[in-house]
Amino acid sequence: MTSFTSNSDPSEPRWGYVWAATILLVGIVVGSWELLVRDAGLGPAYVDNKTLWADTRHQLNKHGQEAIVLLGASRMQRAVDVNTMIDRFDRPVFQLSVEGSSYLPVLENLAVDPRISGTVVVSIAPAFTFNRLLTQLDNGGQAKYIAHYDTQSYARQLEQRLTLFLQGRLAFRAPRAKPAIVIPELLNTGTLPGLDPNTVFRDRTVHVNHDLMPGDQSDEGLAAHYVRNAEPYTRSEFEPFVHYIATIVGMLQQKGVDVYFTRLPSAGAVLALESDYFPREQFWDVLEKNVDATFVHYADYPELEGFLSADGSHIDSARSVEFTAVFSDVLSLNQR
Amino acid sequence: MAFNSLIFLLFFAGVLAVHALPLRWQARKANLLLASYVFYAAWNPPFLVLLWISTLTDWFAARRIRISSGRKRKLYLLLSILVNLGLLGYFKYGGFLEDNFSQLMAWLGVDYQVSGSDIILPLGISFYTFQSMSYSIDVYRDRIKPADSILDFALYVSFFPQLVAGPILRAGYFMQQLVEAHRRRADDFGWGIALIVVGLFEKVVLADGLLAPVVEKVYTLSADTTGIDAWVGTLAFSGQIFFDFNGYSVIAVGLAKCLGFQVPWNFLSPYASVGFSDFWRRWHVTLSAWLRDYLYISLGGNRLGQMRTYANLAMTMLLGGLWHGASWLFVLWGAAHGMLLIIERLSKHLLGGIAFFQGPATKVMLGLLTFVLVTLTWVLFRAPDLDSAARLYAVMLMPSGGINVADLRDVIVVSSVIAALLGTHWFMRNREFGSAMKRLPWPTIAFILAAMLIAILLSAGEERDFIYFEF
Repeated sequence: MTSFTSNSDPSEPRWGYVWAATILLVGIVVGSWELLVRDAGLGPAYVDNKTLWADTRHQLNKHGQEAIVLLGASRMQRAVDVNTMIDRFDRPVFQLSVEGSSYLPVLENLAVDPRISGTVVVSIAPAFTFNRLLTQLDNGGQAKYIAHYDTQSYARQLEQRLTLFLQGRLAFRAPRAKPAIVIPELLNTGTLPGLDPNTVFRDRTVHVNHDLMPGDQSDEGLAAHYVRNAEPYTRSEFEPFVHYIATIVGMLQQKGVDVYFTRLPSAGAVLALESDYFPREQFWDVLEKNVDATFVHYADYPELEGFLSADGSHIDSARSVEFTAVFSDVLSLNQR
Repeated sequence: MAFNSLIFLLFFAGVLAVHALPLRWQARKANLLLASYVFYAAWNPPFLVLLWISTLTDWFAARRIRISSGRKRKLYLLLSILVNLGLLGYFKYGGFLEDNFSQLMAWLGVDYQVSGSDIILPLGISFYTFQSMSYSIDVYRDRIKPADSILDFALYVSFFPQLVAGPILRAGYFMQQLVEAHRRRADDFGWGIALIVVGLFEKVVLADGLLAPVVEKVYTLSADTTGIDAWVGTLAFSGQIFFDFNGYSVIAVGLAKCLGFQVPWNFLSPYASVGFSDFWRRWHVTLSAWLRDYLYISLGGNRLGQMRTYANLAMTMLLGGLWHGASWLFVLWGAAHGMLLIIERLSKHLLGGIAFFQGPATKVMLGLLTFVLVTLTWVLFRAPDLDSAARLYAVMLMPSGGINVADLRDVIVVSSVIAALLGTHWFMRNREFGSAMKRLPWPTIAFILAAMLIAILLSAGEERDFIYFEF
């Protein structure tokens, strides 16, 4: 039987040589990998995950009344270029939208956090607000982000900052530079993996290169997805929902928070379905009438149209800076 | 501050730097104690108080036991046991007991509302309460003398390399290392860092990078999966839990070694076990030794006849299962292992003398059977609830159609890793890891360590906690 305790062995290897050789080998291989993936255009890349989100949420706590918080799903995240909005308002802006999910858990979280007292802009994508299948579609998306953020110790926050610091500087830490992706791709095609269609920035701005997106990115493709996942609230279901939103907004306003609800543009087949499933007068207008906040619907501001990508649902990343400037002006116009 | 975090690396570098200064031994031990408290407080500072309660109770109880006699000795021992098990019981099992009581009341038709208090499980409480309590028991049994220095005893209870998930230390084993200043040895440092790299490789690359994603695919599915997927997911979990926990334990040994301390191995090639008593001598060695010495033997061990031995085995494994977590699944897992140990004992009693069972080929066959049965018990350990466990057992034992979640790549990855794991464990079955590794030529060691470090650095996966942190 193996001895219970380990360790002591008279013939120790030459650890000085071992570690010198190890460090040299690691330096050569990892350094070469870094150069290889950079050469293929795969630079350092942030990952749009809970870590980046939680860090942004922590940063928000430090800015009180000055802060502008953006909530929603992919429409909001891809529409707003955070830097442009910061320039426009001369205030810090925090992107807390999460792709494919409902903003409600984060709105609730902000409502009960005494440190939050700035401006909250909520993007209402009909499928993520007026849809009775939301829980099924959403799978608790933003609630999981909140749980992750809520349970972070100070050490975990520090770890997060360090991880993000390295992510922003080292290409070999990028998801597409992982050997598990690079090596099979090299073996199958003889080339390195293509660029990531999503470029994620430190401030959680996301730019999408639609030419690199896999699958059906047309408005018909998204519309088909919509049909599978949308079912409007009935009137009796919608009433308590509106009342609930009004209550949360009331809690935010009591702390001095300005709340904006915005409906960002959509077009083509997606818009046709949205109008069919969630008519403005039955949903948006009812919400606007019953909730004491500022409402900005793109249809009322022609200057917000004409920036969409081919999917008919998201702002074209190539024009997000321009759109953000216009959108910021519209929000300023509606300031209370 | 998990071992697989950057912040821990910085913390450890700081601790090492101070430990290497030409300070008095007392000052260096104080540095380690302070570092251990900072390490623990990094999760949840108020829980330090619990660590202090456990430490002070056993410090006081052991000294009183030493100078008392008769009933008083027993009372002080009882104090230690009550305080430690009380802390464990409240924080770990409070919610569980309340839920079960409320269900029992509902079954009896009584409307009893649970308080809804959300008790947070303090990290490592199952480990340090056992460790601290064993000191008082050892003093009571006259195996050791009480420590002269509270600094030494506090450091024994809270030594950060093993504080939150073991290996569970014995006071006699560890505190003798605190008496005199260690001679600084570059070899200890070189070997310690090598162990840290090996442990990180097991955790980051094998457990988290290769196996955990497959386990999650299978075990988070709410519908029926296929028989093959259930086996692939469960085999993956066999590997994941070993690499995760052994990785942690190897890092703990390495960290201690860098600081000049010896900490026992927790795993001795467990998947090459022949039979379940052998498995428990090789798996989580320090816990099974603890349960044997302080529970099984206290219950009478095998001294009170055949039937009582079986009952003691069953009780020890049931409680061992419950130690892992406040859930009926863990109780069932412990019960399953208890039953397997009893069956093995009975079989040995009936068939032990037959030469067929002594041959090397039979040994390998029995070893593989042990591995398969242990793997089957892991379903209870990993499944989110009893229904899921039952569903998985059903498709594993009687394959039928279901949702296919594991792809060909998953099957290849899991079978390759598990085959390599079994092969390594059989090769290392009677060898000691340290001497096996140190016998290699130094360029080979450098190559292995470099390959592991490169794999760690390049596998930028999702950060996961160690599984045993939940216990």
